[in-house]
Amino acid sequence: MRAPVGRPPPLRLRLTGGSLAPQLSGARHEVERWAHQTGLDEPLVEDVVLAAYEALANVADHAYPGGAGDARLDVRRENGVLEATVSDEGRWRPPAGDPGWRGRGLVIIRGLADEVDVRHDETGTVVRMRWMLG
Amino acid sequence: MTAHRHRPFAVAVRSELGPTGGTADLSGELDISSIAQLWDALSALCGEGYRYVVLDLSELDFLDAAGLGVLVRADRLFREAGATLALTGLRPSQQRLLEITGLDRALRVE
Repeated sequence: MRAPVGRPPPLRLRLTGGSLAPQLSGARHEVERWAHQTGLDEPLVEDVVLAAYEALANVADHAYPGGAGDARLDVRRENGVLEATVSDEGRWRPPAGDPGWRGRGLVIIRGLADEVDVRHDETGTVVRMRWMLG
Repeated sequence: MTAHRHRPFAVAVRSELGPTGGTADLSGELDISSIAQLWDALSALCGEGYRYVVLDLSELDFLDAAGLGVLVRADRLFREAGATLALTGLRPSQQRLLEITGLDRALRVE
């Protein structure tokens, strides 16, 4: 099936290298640009941008000792569903009892997306967020 | 969030609420890379004896979990000093973020 004219292909970001944290704001702006290009309305753009960003920030904070390692973000709009997937090859750590500086990330993701699915095993963690575009 | 325009985070303090009260205008993007800037500004105000500080968020284009974490810690710092920190000018998305995290019940919003 052809995508409607003007709609961009799925966004794929690979964050690699020494440290993920300095790459987070650039990744956020990429998602924002893509979301506008794909024709999402403003409140939803903000939700998708923040949720995807928080999922990436969780990888930067928790997945790898010292914050170094790879993170992948895939965002696609298909059949009335917007799906953003963030994956890493690091270790899943459950949210701390005291949310501290950033521990509210997963709470925010769950609050913003229509469906959230978190899977983790010895190969890494995948956070899948979906929005039904109606 | 304003599309295609990303302003760096800034905090500007106006001491218009009397000698020990002020308003801090936040603008740009508050995230993991700018939280130290806000923490330094607020802890300095608290240390200088400010009793009442209002944070105006109306020009804040982005607020993440780290930014919320700083607001919570600053609120705690002010309370422990017997002072008050309040938020104002919240955009609908920021108000919703407080509700999602339950912080609408913890932080003072005016």
